[in-house]
Amino acid sequence: MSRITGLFVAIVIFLAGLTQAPAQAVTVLTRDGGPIAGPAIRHGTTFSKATGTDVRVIQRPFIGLYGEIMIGFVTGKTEADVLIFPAAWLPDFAPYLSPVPEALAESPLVQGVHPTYRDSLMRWQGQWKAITLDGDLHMGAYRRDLFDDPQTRQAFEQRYGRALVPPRSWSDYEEIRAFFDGRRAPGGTHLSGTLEASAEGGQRLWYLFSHAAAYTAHPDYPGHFFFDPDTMEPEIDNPAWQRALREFLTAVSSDQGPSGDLDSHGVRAGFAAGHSAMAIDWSDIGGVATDPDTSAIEGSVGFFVLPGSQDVWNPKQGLWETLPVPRQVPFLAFGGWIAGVPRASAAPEQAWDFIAWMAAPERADRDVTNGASGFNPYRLSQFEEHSRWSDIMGEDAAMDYLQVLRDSLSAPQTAPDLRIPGYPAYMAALDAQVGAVMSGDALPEDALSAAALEWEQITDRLGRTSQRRHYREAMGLGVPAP
Amino acid sequence: MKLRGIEGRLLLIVVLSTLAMLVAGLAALRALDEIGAAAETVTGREVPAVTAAMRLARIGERLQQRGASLMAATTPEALSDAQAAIVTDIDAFTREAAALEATQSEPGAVSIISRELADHLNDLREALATQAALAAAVEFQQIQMLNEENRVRQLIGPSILAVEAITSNLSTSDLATYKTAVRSQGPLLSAERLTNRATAEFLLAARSNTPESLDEIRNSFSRTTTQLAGLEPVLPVGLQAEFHDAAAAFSGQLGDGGGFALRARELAERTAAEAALAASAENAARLKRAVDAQVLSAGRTMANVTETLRQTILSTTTQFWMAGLAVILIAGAVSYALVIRPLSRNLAGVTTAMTRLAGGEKDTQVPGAERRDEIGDLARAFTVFKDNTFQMEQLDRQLTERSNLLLATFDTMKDGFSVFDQDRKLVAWNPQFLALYGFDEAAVSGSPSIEEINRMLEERRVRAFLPNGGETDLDTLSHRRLVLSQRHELRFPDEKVLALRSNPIPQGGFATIHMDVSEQRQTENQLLQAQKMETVGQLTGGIAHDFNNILAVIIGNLNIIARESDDKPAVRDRADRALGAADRAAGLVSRLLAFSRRQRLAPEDVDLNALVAGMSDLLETSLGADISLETNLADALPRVRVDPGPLENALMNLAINARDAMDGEGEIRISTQSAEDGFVELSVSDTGSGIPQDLLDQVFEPFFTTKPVDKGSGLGLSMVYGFVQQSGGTVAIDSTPETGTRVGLRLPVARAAGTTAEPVETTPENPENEELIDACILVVDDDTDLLELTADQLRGHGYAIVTATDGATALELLKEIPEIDLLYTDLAMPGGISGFDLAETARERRPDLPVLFTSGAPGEAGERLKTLLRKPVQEDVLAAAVRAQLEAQRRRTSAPNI
Repeated sequence: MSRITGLFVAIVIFLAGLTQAPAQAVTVLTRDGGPIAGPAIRHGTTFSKATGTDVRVIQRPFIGLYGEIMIGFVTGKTEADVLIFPAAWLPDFAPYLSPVPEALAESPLVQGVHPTYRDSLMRWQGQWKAITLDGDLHMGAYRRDLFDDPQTRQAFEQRYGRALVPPRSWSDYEEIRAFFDGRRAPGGTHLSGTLEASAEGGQRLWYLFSHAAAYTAHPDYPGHFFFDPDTMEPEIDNPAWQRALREFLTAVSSDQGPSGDLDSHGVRAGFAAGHSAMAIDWSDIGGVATDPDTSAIEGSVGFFVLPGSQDVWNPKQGLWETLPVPRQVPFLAFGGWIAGVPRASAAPEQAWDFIAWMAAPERADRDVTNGASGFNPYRLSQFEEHSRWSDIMGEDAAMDYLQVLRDSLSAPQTAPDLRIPGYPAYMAALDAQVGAVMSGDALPEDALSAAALEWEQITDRLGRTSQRRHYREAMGLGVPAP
Repeated sequence: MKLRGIEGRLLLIVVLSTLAMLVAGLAALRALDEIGAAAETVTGREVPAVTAAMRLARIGERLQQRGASLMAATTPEALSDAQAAIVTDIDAFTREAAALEATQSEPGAVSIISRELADHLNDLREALATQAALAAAVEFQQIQMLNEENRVRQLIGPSILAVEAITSNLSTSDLATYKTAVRSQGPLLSAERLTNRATAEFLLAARSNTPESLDEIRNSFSRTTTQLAGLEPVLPVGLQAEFHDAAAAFSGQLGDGGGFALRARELAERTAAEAALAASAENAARLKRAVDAQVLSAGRTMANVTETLRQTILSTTTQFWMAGLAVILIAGAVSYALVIRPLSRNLAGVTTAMTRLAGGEKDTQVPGAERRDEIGDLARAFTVFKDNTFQMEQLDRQLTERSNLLLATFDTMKDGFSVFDQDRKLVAWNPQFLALYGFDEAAVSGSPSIEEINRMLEERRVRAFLPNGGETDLDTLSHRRLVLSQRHELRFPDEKVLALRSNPIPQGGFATIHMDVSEQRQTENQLLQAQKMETVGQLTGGIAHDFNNILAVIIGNLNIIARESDDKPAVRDRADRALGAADRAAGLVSRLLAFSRRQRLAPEDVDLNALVAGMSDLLETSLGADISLETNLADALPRVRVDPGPLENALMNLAINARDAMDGEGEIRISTQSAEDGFVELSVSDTGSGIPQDLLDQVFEPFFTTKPVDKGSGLGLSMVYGFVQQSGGTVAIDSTPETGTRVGLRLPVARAAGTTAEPVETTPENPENEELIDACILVVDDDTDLLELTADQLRGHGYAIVTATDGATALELLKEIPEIDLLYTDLAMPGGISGFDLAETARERRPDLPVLFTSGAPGEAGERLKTLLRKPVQEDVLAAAVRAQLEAQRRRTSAPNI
């Protein structure tokens, strides 16, 4: 933690101690499990010790977290003083949240956040509404020991006529997946080609979005990811999405190991256990796979930017076009976990104090390098301090990991996640249809069309004009034409 | 330019006519100007007024229809369009009304009504403007309402969706949460419903067309917003503040500045506008009637004006036409009188004169030549033309005559004539050209080139020779003929010779004269041959003469030696042998003299056939058994005048030559026949080897022989030639190699007897007469040896001899010695005094003096002398001749004495 930030936190705590005696308890509501909730508990303990304010962490299953928070808002019975929730829910929560104190918003704690995460995750309609604790994006990981194995490389070359290198396109990815799927690792371990989340409520949609990002990112028509930015009509049922869905289904058809359908935690754990040659996951996978305590393959991990595609869908012409070379489109999946304070909080100041404590750089830096924290790098300094990462991951992996993060965040074509009111409703509609496809109850095309229809209804209910404005802002486009 | 000429007159007429037309035109222009002013008055005042009035009426009618559109407009867009159309028409009406005012000095009925209508329309415009502003305000309020509705949706929507997610999926929620959700969703859903209803009601109000319906909707909206405001306390606390703002905005539409009040005012303004429009329609109808009346009035006015204008134009046009016609007639009459009639008359006179001239009347006089205008010029020019025509006609006639003469000359000229053009093509020729070359007309009608002509000549084996005798080829000649005057000869195989003279012609090519010189060349060759033979003869004669003198000395001395050597037999024998050799030499010289026609002949009338027949035996003997001799003698031949002895020798020579030519076997034919007038031909033909053509010219030359060296003297044919020539005949020889040779002698037919000079009787007579012994003889000869010999011989006969070596000395001696009884002189002597001169001078002094002449080559003059002794003179012949002369002299001188 820098000296200025530390001084700021100390002053805040001092003032809090002066003005709020006796100290009230701060209740934190977030998802259950080791990630996210774990750091909240740990930092709550230290916060209590430091300030005397108790911190109680309420954990709820991720699938019910949004509903519970919203019911609390609607009924006026929110007991949490601090909410730690996905950034994509902020548009829905914004009316019920208190703004970030101005001093905190202008503090180095906020200003040191990478602009990609700071501007898009922490504000809504120009107001600072939350403090981010996480910087999310999807990336690829692979087992370097397998990719460097001469026999494996020779076998791959014989089958595909090219060298075995980390995939640059989803086509490469599928070949490598198919090559490794069912093979045995040198140690005799049964291998999956790749691991992606497919479990209901296991954040599987973002894996689908990662596949779709490259196919929908036409260079001449930016923003045609989820909707047509001019009409706000859904585009999730076009051929690009159909192809993405089919490839996603192929990827998750790999042998997922003994646990069956995986959630995102299962993906990174399975990869760290050496069950697969590759995996797609949030950047958490870097820490998990390189942690000697949790990984069976530490020291043999490499990373790659999310694969791209040479084929890209032209949404205006309604046809596929071929780019000169495959174009990788990183995807800021999920955005990250942020922390906010409900208007109804009885102890908003303590709540903001705790958030500032938790987000303090010295803690945040430890959290993002801990694969089990659920938090990933989001501060500018975290992408630059190479030694920190090399101490944990080893020199090669750290360099590889940071390079992938930097490349993904700096690429102009990097796709942001959807960030409009009703986001959970949109996701729920789509996830239900994907689930129907995976259960064999619907064909991909029909399922996507049905989801698109539901999306239309949601848009109209929330006001198409406003939704269009929000979507264009989320996609980095200008103000819509009146 | 002469003003008195036709051109001047015409110009004057044109100027005057133009001035007249100009005056008439100015008058017409002035009339038209008046017409234009009248028309301008009508069009400037009445037409705009009528037009503006009619437009006003039309706009008024259209405004009546606009009212209906305004009433029927149910949507803001239709209303806005109707208002815009009315405003546009009002603007147009205002402009037209102003235009109408401007055309009238004082306002008429139309103007008054228009002014009233314009006032009504301005009221309407203001009402419409107010209505439009209010409609815009209502539209703005609609947008505000929709924004507020969107705001509420954004506010409550996510909560509703979240609650619905729970309530719609009991299986994933716990029951307490579910129940809470169900209970809490009521206010949210009510807020959503009431917001939708309020929005819908406001939109309906914005489209209501009557105040009543607007009030009804307003009341409903008021109830809805009241309910909406009532929801605020029961909504989630976090939403209440923003919901309150939205609900207040909804309620605010009921206030004075709200959408309902605005819409009510808009409807009121619309009613006012409709009233104004109705009033305008009344005015418009009145205006239409007034305009109709004005249009009718204006129509009458314009009809009157138009009629007036028509009359004015008609009269003016008539006047202009009449003036123009008068000018044209006057100009025509003047032109006829001053120009056309005299011109016509004089031209007719010239025409008549030309006609007469064409008929050949050379003395035709052209009228008008005295005039000083163009007609006079024409007449004078025609006179000159006439004279020139006569001259030309005369020249043409002369030219034709010359041309005909030239053509006749070409056609009839003996020589050929040809012309080749610059391309060396034959372009002209006369009939003689074709005849000379044996070309037919068809061969040259295609203008053949000189090369083609040359090929034709080469096919006929024609050879070309330059004037220096050198042969050349035809093509080289052709090239030269193009650039240089050229002479050359063409020689044909049949001995035809053409002499060509080519001259280049300036236009290119060349003209050539082709002359047939065959006869000329033949004659020249014969002449050349004759000259050659003559020269050879003279040379031979000269030599023989000198040789005779020598032989005479030799023989004379040998005779002396023989006579004086009787006692010396050996000497006598040698002298005799020498005399024999000298005699043979004398015989040889005699044959040479025969060739050179200097032998002494004794011509007589000879029967040629008899002579031939008489020699037949001798010839057969001489020719041998293997040679057959045929004679073919013509009957009734006239006698020929010839010395038979040399003729026999000649015949023998010819026969011997024929025999030698036949290599011992063959046939010799001797023929006689009459030849051309005055001649008989004796010919000898053989079947021998013949003589080459190139040698034929030489066979008559002395010492030329084709025989082996020891077989012939080469004098046989020479002697024949000389003999025949001397006898007045000719010799011809034809020979064909391997076939034979024919020699023909043409001998003159004998004429009347006695005309031939008798030769001197040279037969020595009897011996000296003693009386004559002492006679004195003067011997003259420039050859001193012969002079001495002759003197000795005569002295041997007893004569007294004086000698002289030239004529002058002889005359001196004759003068000094009167005893000289006889003059014996050589004919040819140096010193200017010949034998003839000497004898003539001596006879002038002594007419009775006998004279004997001697000569080796006496010539024709000498041949006629009766007292000529041909050298070498035998001594006995000399002695006899001297004696005979002396005796004759003695008889002449003694007779008177008897």
